[in-house]
Amino acid sequence: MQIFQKNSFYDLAYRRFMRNRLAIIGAAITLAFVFIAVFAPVLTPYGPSEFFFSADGTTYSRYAAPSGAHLLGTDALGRDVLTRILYGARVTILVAFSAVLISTVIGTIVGLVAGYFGGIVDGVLMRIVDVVISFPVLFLLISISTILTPSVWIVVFAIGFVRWTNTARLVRGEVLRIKELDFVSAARGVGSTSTKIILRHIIPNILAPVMVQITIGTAQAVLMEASLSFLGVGVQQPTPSWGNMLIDAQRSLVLREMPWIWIPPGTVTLLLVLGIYFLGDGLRDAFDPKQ
Amino acid sequence: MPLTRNSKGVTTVSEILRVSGLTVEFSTEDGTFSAIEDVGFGLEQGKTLAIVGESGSGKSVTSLAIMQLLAENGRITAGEIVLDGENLLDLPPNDIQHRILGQQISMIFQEPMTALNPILTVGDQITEVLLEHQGIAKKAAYERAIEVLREVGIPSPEKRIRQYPHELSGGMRQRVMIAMGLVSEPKVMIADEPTTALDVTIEAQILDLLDRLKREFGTSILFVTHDLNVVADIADDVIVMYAGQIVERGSVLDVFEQPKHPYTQGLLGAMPSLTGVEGDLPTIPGVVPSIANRPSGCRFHNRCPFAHPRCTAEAPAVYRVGGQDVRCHLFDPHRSEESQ
Repeated sequence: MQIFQKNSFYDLAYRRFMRNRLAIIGAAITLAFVFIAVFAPVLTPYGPSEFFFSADGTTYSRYAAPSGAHLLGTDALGRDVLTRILYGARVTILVAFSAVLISTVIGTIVGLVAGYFGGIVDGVLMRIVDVVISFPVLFLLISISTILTPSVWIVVFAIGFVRWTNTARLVRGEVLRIKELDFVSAARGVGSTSTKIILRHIIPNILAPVMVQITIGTAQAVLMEASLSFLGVGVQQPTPSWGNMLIDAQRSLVLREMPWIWIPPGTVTLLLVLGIYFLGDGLRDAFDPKQ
Repeated sequence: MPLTRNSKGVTTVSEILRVSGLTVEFSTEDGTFSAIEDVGFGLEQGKTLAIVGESGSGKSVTSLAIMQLLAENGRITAGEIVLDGENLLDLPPNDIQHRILGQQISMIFQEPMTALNPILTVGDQITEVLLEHQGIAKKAAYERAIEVLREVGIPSPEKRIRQYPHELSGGMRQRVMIAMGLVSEPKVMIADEPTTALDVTIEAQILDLLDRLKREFGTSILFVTHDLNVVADIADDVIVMYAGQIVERGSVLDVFEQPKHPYTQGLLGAMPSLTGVEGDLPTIPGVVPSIANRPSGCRFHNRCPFAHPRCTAEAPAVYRVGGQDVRCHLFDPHRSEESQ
């Protein structure tokens, strides 16, 4: 199948990627979770906040063990765990992708400007990066969630705000390297403007490391969301997220005797992060011409 | 062609490029240093002028300054660069971008591996200047690119134009670079060590190509190199640079037959020859002084076999000797007897 122009950098990278089994597995896992997130309502007959009652109909069916009706049992409030896992994929993936989108856009622009123009601009931007890196993230988020009403979007912006610095540093380094190469001088030597040089010669050449950074950033954002929600400062009930489904595991009774409550969200988090990392490693190898 | 003598006594024959008094300073953390000082020469229509020197002599800085491609900390502080009657240093930057660079003057770089963008096809890169500044339609630009690729001796250019740099050999890439420099038929082409990274056989082919282009299109070539064999091969005139200054200037014939400056003599003496006597090759002792650390007086005095007290104290002027201009006290006509 010919997706890119034959023998172009991306065509060669694509072919190398398709030969890498682990990368394909990673891509398949990631895509499977995206599929689950998109089709959650079709995949389960229940709603994520639907309460179920015990057989006599008088009490909520709390902490019910897995059964035919509830394949992964029910949670503390009598909701179907599997359904919440499926809907949780939506939240987790939405948060991770949105946060990475924000951090990539900010990071790439800051890195490009700092690296290309250098001098004072570079100095100022990189000091801002230093300041942001020095922020105590957890403290910041706990403060925000006590002041503002916690919501999915606050988590997205919080993670995006913290993570753009990595992208900015990476992009700046790449730009510094590439702008010294002769083809950039050659472009200036035929009278190309800075805008044209950035768009045509620099951005396409930093796309590969940025794509690798995007995958790694997504995996880390998934973990970050899970941690924040687990600590109660991220995504709030009743919205399901894999992180807040694990909150119940803080109780030792649940941890010891009700594995259906915490093994599923833990496992899917692990699987998704692992899948994205495999994908990212595969991309890095595919983009490296020395491979 | 009319022969004239300008105020400096240099004979000029329809010069397409005249550089005079060119001085470039670099500001670093340790202070400001001049990389080249008072560099002046003329490039005649349809001729090749070679700039020769060791690393650090300022030959590359000179060519980058003409192309306005100096690094951010470099600045032209004095001089004129007159291209076909226009002083480039008086023109606004966007005029230079839009009208001069790539069109009236172009540059070929040393490393064909890094001088082509790996993610663009050969055709995309050759047509860049045409599409960017000349308002030529894409189809016509690609046809022109195919034509130029054929002129620089690339077989089946219709196929090559869609290929990427990594699909080409080093020699092919250098031909593509030359095609890029040639595509808008510039008056002057600057070639910065265009063959240094190539095999000897490929080097000979590229030199032949440049020579042919010069004759067919009347392009004037400024050829920067450290290789005297190449100079003898391709150039009409030669400038020898040392530590940021021109130390000798003249026709290749004159300079190679009768080098005047002790540095030029040393360079030519260090050149292996097929017919020469056996034995150790003579070398010039020492290295080119660093930019921050240039000796007083004549900059070559600490390596010069003919150095005398005046050389450490006083910077030599340029003297006209035979067909050459030489920056050396040995050729001062008013030189006092006792200092000899």
